[in-house]
Amino acid sequence: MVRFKSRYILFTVHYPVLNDLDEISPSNYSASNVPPLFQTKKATPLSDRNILPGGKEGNLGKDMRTLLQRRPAPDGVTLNAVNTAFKDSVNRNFGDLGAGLVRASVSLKYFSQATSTGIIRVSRDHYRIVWAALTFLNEIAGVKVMITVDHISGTMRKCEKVAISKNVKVVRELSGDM
Amino acid sequence: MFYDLCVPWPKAVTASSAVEYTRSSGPIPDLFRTVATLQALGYTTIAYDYELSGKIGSNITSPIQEDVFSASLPKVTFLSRITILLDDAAQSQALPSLTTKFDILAVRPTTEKLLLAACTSLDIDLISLDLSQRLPFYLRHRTLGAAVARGIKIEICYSPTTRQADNNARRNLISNAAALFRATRGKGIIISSGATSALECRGPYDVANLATLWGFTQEKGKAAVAGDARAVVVHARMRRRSYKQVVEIVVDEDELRATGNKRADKKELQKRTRQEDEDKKNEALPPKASKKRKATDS
Repeated sequence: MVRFKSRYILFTVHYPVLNDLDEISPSNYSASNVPPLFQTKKATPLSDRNILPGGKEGNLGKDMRTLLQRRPAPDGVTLNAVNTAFKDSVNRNFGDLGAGLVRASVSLKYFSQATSTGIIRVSRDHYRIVWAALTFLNEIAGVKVMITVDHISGTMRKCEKVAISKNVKVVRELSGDM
Repeated sequence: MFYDLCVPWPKAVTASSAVEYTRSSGPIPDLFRTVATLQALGYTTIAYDYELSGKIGSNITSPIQEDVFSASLPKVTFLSRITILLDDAAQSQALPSLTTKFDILAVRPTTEKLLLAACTSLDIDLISLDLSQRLPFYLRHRTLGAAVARGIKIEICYSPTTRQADNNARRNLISNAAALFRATRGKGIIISSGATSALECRGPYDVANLATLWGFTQEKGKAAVAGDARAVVVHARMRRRSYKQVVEIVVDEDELRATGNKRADKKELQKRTRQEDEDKKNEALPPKASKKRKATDS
């Protein structure tokens, strides 16, 4: 039997130049599904930090690393927006051929606004097209973004496990900073 | 263990200007954002790039302050690099004086003749070409093969693909990168970012995947961001610090860290400190008194 093989691409959306870290509105996520750390930790916006190496912001590196990597999606970056955006990216960068090759099999299986993480399913033969389209993507719904692919696997479960372990790591770092 | 060997040092910040950590935007906070993003993505060695064109005086000072963010990003190794826009053979005479001022020497030839000179005779570490333009020369296997055989790598900067809105630059980059791969068969190529803002950075595995679009295999793509890039750093260090790349005098631990291979350096350091500790212990011991003699004395 020739099985249809697919790849599940786990990706995270980053917002390296967004300056509204203080203004994450609680309406973006509910208290039931987000650990309290995300809600109570107030970070000073990048624009107001005095970035002195070795000064009191000497710990900035670790702080910035966590914050740059994971933050909730700002308004506008929804599942539908991400869906449209990456399909547009495939169209723009790979044309009709690329769009046609992946069309039957590609779908955005999961996107969480709380963690800006998503999972896309593609056929195994053409997953690199979708991967590259995600790399080329630099704007979603007007927000400037950067996408990194964290994991690619043949099953959704492995991607979920990796997503959970990465989130656990982030939460640990955030609580360690406090 | 990923290397990004081209982060342009902002032109506005010179050696003499005070490095101001001003609040909102400006070249230094933008640079910090770029570098912090790269660190968050997993790059452990970053080289600031200073581009120089025209006549090179003999007393150039390096405007790059490598350790400007070292306190905030302690786990990253920062290096300095100069890229000389070669449009005149006379510029190559300034190369020896630049060796001491920058960690990595790179060259951007603009004609075929200068490319040949760079590949065969110049004492450099990297050949960087502006791949977002149509190149005025063909990339031939013979020329580039000579560079690869000498250990000089050729660099692809991927920022034109991730920069916004410039379709032509993106197409040129892809076309040139594919031609480069064909001419060198994938050997001796490194990929670096050339990122002027945090938005243009991409993770190392994402960059390796882009390379597979240009014709690389998966291993060569990863080597371009990791192993081969490390080879450039080592080559540069050997050029600076060793005699004919055979003998090297190591002065202190900081020099060791230049390769960025922390595990090997750490092992080496542990070996040396263990040796030193043993020596100290042996010195500190009092001379062994013979027990027999003491007994007879008392």
